[in-house]
Amino acid sequence: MSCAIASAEYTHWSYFVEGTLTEFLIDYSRLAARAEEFGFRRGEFLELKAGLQLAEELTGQVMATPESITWIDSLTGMTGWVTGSPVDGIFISVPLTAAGVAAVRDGSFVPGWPSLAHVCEEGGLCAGVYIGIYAGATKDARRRVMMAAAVVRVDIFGTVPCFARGATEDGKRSMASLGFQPIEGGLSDLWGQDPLPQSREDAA
Amino acid sequence: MRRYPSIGELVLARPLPPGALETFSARPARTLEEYQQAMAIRAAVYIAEQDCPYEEEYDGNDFTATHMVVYAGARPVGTIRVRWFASFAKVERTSILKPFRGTPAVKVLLAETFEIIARKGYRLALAQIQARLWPTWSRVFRCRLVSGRPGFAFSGFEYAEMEIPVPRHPEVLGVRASPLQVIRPEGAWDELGVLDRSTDRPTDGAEAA
Repeated sequence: MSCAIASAEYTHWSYFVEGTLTEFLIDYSRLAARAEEFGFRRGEFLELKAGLQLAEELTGQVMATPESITWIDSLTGMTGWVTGSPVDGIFISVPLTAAGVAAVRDGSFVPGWPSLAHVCEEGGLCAGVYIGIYAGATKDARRRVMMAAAVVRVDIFGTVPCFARGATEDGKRSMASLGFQPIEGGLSDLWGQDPLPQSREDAA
Repeated sequence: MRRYPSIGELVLARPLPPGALETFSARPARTLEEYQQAMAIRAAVYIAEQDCPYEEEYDGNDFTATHMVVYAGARPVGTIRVRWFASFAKVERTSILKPFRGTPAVKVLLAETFEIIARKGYRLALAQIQARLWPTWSRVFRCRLVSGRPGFAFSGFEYAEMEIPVPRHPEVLGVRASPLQVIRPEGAWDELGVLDRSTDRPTDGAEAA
């Protein structure tokens, strides 16, 4: 199970057709706590390097460099997550600004080397999230990766759109199980999900 | 062996193009001759091309700064000056000889410069850019204009301030770095230096004192 960072052009997604855009402040403490429930922690450089190597082995795809992920993580405060010791799972998430969401839509977003204007730096307003990579070496690691991805998506980033790319058939199946849909008009393997319906209580 | 500037490269808007480091190399000016190379390039670019007055170009900050020089083979083709402040490095006087503009020379120069800035532990660089050149610089760096600050002018140009976030280097040379490593030539911290080779000499504190 894995996804690789990608970019694409949006053509028919209801969220964007309606033209609404939600921005919110990320609750980093809550995010870290939820990730920790599934054994995830912010990865140090060598841990991210190991995790990215693992993802490359599992997918056969070239990943972003650990230097790049470490830097993006230091900007966003929430990008590089690993589990296990030694690392047996990795989860890369890139929070997006409104410009970043637009860049994903128009294909100008460069996931492995994003522009500063596209990345929601720590404390900034988040308008979307890009799931760069999720991969686990063992059945248990894969389960925890999936659970963490799903919970973080729903609990932290539910109000904004989420993007990911299906690098493998397994990855596509897992995204479909999370409610993602393939998006046409850009890269063939780009998937996305509208903001999730919010309960009346949450919306109040 | 020359290290790839994998951290310094991250400040660029795009990765170094393939082959850039085979064609160009950059290092700090460590000798008077290399220093003169930097000054000669600036004379050509700023004084000759941009009509900058001599005393404004050589503004009293050169002997206190780090100068990087980029080479095409053995030929010096560009330079940049870095000055060091408490929490940021100031990059200035970036200049590339005319025939080498549009080549990867400037990217190699900047990647190697920011590798050193990062290795020293700095997380932020500041540049004062000619305001008209923001579109150009924003295509070179992953950077942002400093907001909420008034524009300013000197030497006949309007300027703006540009911030360049610097990635954390995994091998920062902190205060507990190897004592021999920190006395190696600037920027060559991973190669044995002349003082490393002196460590086999018998020590004789009495004579040295």
